[in-house]
Order: sequence, then C-alpha cells, then structure tokens
Amino acid sequence: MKAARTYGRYLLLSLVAVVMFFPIYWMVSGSLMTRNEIILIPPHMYPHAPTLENFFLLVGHADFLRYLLNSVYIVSISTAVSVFTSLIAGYIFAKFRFLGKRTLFVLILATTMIPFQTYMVPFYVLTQKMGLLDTYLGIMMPLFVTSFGIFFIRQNSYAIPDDYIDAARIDGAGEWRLFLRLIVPMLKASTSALTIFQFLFGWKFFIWPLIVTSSAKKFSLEIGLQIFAAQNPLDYQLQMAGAVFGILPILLAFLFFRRQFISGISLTGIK
Amino acid sequence: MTKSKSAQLRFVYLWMGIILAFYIVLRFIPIFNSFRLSFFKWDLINPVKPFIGLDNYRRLAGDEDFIVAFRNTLIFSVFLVSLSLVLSLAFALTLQKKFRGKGIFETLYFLPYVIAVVPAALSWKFIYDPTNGALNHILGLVGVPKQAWLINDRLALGSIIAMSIWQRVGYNMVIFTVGLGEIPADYYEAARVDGAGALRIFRKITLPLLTPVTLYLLIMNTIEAFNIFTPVYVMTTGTQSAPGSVTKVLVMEIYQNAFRFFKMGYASAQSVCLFAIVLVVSLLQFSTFGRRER
Repeated sequence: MKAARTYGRYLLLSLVAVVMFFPIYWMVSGSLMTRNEIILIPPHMYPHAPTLENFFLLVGHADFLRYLLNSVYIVSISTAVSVFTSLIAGYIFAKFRFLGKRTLFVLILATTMIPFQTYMVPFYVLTQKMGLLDTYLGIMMPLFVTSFGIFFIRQNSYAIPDDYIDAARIDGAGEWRLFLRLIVPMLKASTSALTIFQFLFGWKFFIWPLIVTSSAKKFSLEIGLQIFAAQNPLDYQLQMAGAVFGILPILLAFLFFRRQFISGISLTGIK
Repeated sequence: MTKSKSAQLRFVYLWMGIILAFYIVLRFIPIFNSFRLSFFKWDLINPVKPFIGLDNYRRLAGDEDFIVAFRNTLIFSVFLVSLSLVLSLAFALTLQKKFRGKGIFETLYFLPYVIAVVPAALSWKFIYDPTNGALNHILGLVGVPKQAWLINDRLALGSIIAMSIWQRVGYNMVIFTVGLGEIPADYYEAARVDGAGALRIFRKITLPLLTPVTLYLLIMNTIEAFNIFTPVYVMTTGTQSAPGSVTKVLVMEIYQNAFRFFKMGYASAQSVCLFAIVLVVSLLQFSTFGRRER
C-alpha cells in the first residue's frame, strides 16, 4: 500500500516534470535540426542528424553575439546601480533619523504597487526630452531604482545591532567607510539574493527596450530575437537556435547556482 | 561627538538627496504625468497639444477595442492567477516532505521561471504550430483532431494562459514552500493526536496559517497578470499566430495607441484606467482576505 503510494507520487511528479521541461527540450532539439528536418510531419522527437549550423548562422549572418553582449552590458550595469541604491537607501531608512523620512518611505513604497506599464508612455516622453532615446543609458534608466529592493534591504538592516555601528564610529570610521566595510559585508546574503532577483528582472524586462531602442546596434538579446523571429517566421530551426541563445546565459547561471537562485527568490518573497 | 553627528547628517542628506532625485525623475514625474497627459489630446508628432478635459475618458467608454482588451485581460487574470496558485500550492505540498529526487523535481518545476519570456514564447509558438507543432502531433496520437491553437478565437487566449501558468508556477511554488516551512510542526502533531484526517488538517491548519503568503502571492500575481504583455506580443506577431483582437490585452492596447498611432494622451487615459483597476482589485483582495487573517 505504502509502496504503491510512493510509486504513484513519483509517476505524477514525473509526468508534471515532463510537461514543465518539454518546451525547453523542444527548443534545444529544434535548434539542432536542419530546415528540412524540422518541417517533417510527423515531427522528429529528437534531431536524427544534429547540427550546429543554425548557431553559426545566427552569429555569422545575424548579430546575435552583439545582442548577447548588449544584454549582458545593460543588465549588469543596471543591476549594479539598483543594488547599490537599494543598499544605501535601505540602510539609511533602517538606521538613521532625518527630516521627511516617513513621508519619503511611504511614497517610495507606494510605487511598488504601480507597475512600469502604467507610466511607460510619459516615461517615453521624458526620455525623449532628455535626448536619451535609443541610448544605453535610456534603456537602463528605469531599472536604476527599485522600491522593492529598498524595502527588502531596510528589513534586513534592522538585524544589524546599533552597538556595532556605534563601536565602529568610536574607532573613527567615517560614514562612507562604515557603510562599505561593515554594513555591506553584513548584508551579504540579502545583497546576493537581491542581485539575482534584479538580474532576472532586468533580463526579462522587455517592453521598455522594445519601445526605446530603434537601432539594431543596441538591441538586447530579447529584442533582437523577437525581431529576428518576426522576420523569419517560417524558419523555426533558426528561431529555436536563437531561443537557446537567449536562455543559455541564465540557464547556465541557474544550474551552477541552483541553491542560491531558489533561496534567493524565496528570501525576496518574504515580506 | 558633534563632529560625528554632523558627518552622519551629511552622509544621510547627500545620499537621500541622490535617491530622491532618482525617484523624482524615474518614478514620481512619469507617474504624475500619466494622469496629466490623460487630459490632453497629446499627439507625439503634432506640436499642438490641447487640453480636452475628460474627453479621452469619455471616448474610452465607447471604444470597442478597449472593451475587448479589458475583457480579455480580466479573463486572462482570473484563470492565470487561480490556476497557477492552486497548482503551485499542490506542487509545494507534494514537495514538502523529504524524499529521493526531490531536488530534481524542484529544479525542473522552477526552471521555466528563470527563462526569458521571448525564447519561451517562441518555443510555445512552435509547439502550438497547427501543421507541424508538437502539441497537435501528440494529441493526434490519442485521436484529437488538429487545432489552430493560436488562431482559433476560442483557443487563442487559453493557449497563452497555459504558457503563462507554465512560467509562473515555479515562482509561486517556491514562495509557498517558504510559507509551509514556517508552520510549526507541533500544530500538525496536535491535530494528528486529535485524530484529524489529512483533508481536515489542510483546511483547518495549513490553509489558514498560509493566508499571509497566499494574500501576498494573490496580489503580486494579479498585478502581473493585469500587466501581461510580452507573451501576447511575441505569440501574436507574424504569420500563423493569433489575430490581434482575440488576444488583445490592456497593455497591448496602450502600446499600440502610444507607439503605433502616437496618441499619447489617449494611451495615458488607458494607463490610468489600468492603474485604477489594479488598485481596486488589490484593495478588494486585501480587505477580503486580510480581514479573515485577524
């Protein structure tokens, strides 16, 4: 009876796992096929003569390597800026008293409930006025602050004892050094969780780069891939290769740092 | 001591000033302008941008596209949020106990969440392809006739919902797992001593104690669902995909009005509506479930 239940559970879990993994498997399988193989009916369940030619084509004829580098550049910088602004603001909100603190905090927190999509139109108008349309800075800009990050770091900063901070001050540490040398290392776990969260968020952020970028030289991987797919609607083998290109960096990072990813996401979920 | 106090103040005001400046430019001004623009006939190209009061809002009430988009977004949100929450709670409960291979299942279920949306949507689009897609082939093995998943107007929205559930469920599962882990084991122990069955324990202990987590996920998922864009955009561009109006959602409508027809004022009025809807729904959810918590 017990064994039957165990097997039943494994069977059910495996079935769900197959469904969850299938779109990724199908993408990889299709990316290794030739055009002649991918259009076969009934479809091949795996590439019978796997080839990497689609990938060579994407790097050689299309600009996928450039898109990849653009994405890495855009997401790395914006993540670094947002993690920094979250750290410093979160720490100050937790450990200092100053004029207007409550009002400012409430205002910042209120913006977590307002998604970017609801103010992307005026954001575009503003970016245009600043002359930043189709620039890297313009693409990264909305990601420079994150109310969620500030809140998250504030919550975690409360755990740092005031005595520690005061002791460092008596030892003559300046505020800036205190922050870099004492506070940031103590917030290591939450910083890495926030970094993973922000990196994923930035990597998946699609609508703003779609609106603000116009020259192919500045396309992120997501935009480049979408436009490439729209131009080659019937070449599924190339689309799938492009898709594999698009998921590979994050997928590799995830497989190497699986524990950190999952615990990072769960850390950022507890409010 | 006073020297240290003034150094602290300098530090605080310098950095808070910078953060505030960021917020003013990147959040407060655009959010405020979203409201302001909605009262103007604001054409991106036309230099004349007259104030027209509530005219944009009046036009919205009779705009068929907007009403369809609103209806689709509502259907999308209801199904995505309810199904993904139920499924992810079921996954979290199944994966709660330690057993061999648990890590592998957890990883596989979480995997779709870390994947970028465009590649995922392209893969699903290929799977849904009516002529040589995998789904029709697999269903064909059990005798289901071929379907045009993304083209048929009765299936298109559901097909996109399915893809979104697939991407969302892993995240919800991880958060539910955290919530479940925080319920003290003594509670379960005591209930079992009292002879409560599994279903009763779930209803009387697990579910009520999980309410804060459920509420958080409910609100977060609803906000995201109402703002859905990327999967719809990717899966409905190009040939062999859904006709716009059948799957048109609110953000798509805003995007097209603003960046295809350059009607920034009108698009802003739609944005304000989206904002208001999300706000009302979140408040409703909060007051309904938040009260039960007490």
